[in-house]
Amino acid sequence: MPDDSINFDKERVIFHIDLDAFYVEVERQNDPNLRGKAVVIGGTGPRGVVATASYEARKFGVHSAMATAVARRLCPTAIFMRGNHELYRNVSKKFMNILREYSPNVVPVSVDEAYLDMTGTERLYGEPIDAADTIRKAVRDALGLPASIGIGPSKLVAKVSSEHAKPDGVFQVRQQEAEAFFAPQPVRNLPGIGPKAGEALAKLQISTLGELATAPIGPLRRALGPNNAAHVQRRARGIDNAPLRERVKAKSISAETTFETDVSSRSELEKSLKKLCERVGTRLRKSGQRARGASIKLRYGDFTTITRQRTFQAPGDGDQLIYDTAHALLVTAMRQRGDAIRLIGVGVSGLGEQAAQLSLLDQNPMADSDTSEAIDTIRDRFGSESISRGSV
Amino acid sequence: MQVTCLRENLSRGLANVSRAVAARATLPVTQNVLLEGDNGQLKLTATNTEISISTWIGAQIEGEGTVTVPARMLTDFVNSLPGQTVNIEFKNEPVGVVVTCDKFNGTINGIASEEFPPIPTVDGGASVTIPADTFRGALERVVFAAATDDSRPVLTGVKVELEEDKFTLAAADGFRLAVESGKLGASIDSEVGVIVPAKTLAEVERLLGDGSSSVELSVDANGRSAKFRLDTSEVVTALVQGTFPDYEKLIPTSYGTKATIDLSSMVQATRAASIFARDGSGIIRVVVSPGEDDGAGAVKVISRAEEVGSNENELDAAVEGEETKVAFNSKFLMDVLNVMNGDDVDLETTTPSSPGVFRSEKHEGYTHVVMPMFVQW
Repeated sequence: MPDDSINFDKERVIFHIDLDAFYVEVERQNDPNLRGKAVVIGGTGPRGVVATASYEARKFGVHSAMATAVARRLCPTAIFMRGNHELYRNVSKKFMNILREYSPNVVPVSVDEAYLDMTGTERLYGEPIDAADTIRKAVRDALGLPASIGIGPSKLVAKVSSEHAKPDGVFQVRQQEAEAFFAPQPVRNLPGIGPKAGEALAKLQISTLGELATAPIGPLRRALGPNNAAHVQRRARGIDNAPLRERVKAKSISAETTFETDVSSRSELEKSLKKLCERVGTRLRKSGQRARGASIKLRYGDFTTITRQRTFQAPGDGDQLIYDTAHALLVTAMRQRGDAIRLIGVGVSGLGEQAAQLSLLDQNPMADSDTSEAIDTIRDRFGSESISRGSV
Repeated sequence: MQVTCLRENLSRGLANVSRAVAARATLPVTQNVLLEGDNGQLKLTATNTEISISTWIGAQIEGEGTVTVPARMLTDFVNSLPGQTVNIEFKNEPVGVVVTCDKFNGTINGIASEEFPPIPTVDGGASVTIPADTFRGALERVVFAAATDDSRPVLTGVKVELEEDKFTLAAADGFRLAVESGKLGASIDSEVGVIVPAKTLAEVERLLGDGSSSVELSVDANGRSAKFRLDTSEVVTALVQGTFPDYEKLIPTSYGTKATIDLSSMVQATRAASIFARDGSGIIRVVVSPGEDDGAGAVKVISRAEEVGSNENELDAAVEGEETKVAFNSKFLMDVLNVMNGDDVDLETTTPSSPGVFRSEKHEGYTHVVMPMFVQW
């Protein structure tokens, strides 16, 4: 049975820290001329997507994941930039290191976002609100970046609170306040409720978290899934006992790219495929797992999308293995339909323990893994463009 | 021509040749079965040009003639007939057959037999006879180890070697190797080494279920095709061209630890461990420990399902040598244990990354090598 009990005496203190308009602010550090102006960072091609928009641009309705073309229409005066992702990663590393000075338990969520367990740090840093200000100041002094911090008794409450802390502020919600704090908020503010779940709830006339918390469970089970409904309902009441560091292991890893114009040239597709395979391979190896198979995804000019997958002869994590398998799938798919391709994606699945089947015939069955790992190390140190595989 | 035969026999005959019927018709006639009278018997033949199977069934034959008709339709129709005796009448205009059984009657159009691909005559090379039981057992223990994907075509075949009074079958898929040697019916003068598609040998193994007493294996002079002659069937196959790995070098010549384990207990422990292994990467860890003061040793068969559970099964074993640990793919382990018979299985190991060798006292000529999995211990 899930544990519903809450011990108010021993309430945890969890921070959710989020850098405001991270990419934009990093660019502004580089180029002060960008300050106070609408800046949009993301793909600048005809099919680019917005990664971050400054608050000035957001006023025009620009938000992340929006097509850049749409953003241009909404805010024609904005400065559009591709962004320097290598720089962002470096800044992100520094950011995480600062956080680690304040808590032994820091869980990065993305480049600009992390959870910190600050339980029991009052004697060191004072009340949570004061500790939050100290951390925000440290980040601003070292990196020049504004950060917002939500404070709560759980990851869930901290995360929802941080939305209220933005921009550049602190917001704390205690456990006894959580239910009331959540109740009037729209359901989509609850992490885990996406557009689909939101729609399903709307059909049940449920628009706020308060309504969700008190809705009868039967219809909810049908709308959200039989196993998920009770869990979501507890979360809608602000109850979350999940540990900070959850062992959530990905079941699959994938990467995809949309071409600026549809591509039918095999060599160009192969080039993209290779890059994607390396990206997927790197993430796979970092996760310490091996995959049992690979898949490709192709979207044609008319938006029909196909996926094809194949199981490896033995689990592996090498770029070459992923590429060879994905490539064979691509060749077969292209033989079946030679139309121009809009989007290409690669994935690995069946992830599991770091184990490799040794070969009876090949001299070094680990060669692919070892080579790929060596490439990872070099890229970590010298950047992603520093080394690449040649083609034979 | 008129043929009268038992429905049951015709049904079995058609089933025998059905595996050689082409799945996809690059050449439409290869989806047909060839019917012909042959020495007072009905001969059925199917071919997909890689492999051809013929089978003979007892029948009453009147007149002469040959014809090919769609194999699938004839087989399905015959299987749906009610009576015991079937009559087949060959027709010329149009080419085909009329099949009659009790009051059921079917007319099936065909293709003239002249268009049926000629089955290679296999002669000029070596020919040997092997007792059916010996050969069938060897096939059962070797063929499954051949590769099923064709990234290395030679590995989809089984190396067949004939020398003096000995035959050897060897198959490897890159991760495991199965080798069995046995005695020929009579010695031969020449040495033969060919690669027979594993699919063909699987058909031969299946056909040997008919109770044949021996198999006659012939290879043609230029090593392109081979023929397996059973009591009532014949399989002709193209041979795989290429160089098979030197498998003898892949069999370790020494071991650090040898465990002799009760076979049925080992099968049971492995089957239990497979349940947990299938949720992970199929890893089964085997820990072999010698007994203290020359006492009986033990073998532990261990598996885990990530975040779900784990399993550890301990078995008594006679262990010689040091303690060793080795991990195997559960499928490879299960496959080899399933084909062993006798009371005990011997497992020879050295290090976690050196091959494991399975043998059985009952089959002196059999050796099975499995490469381990590299795992964190």
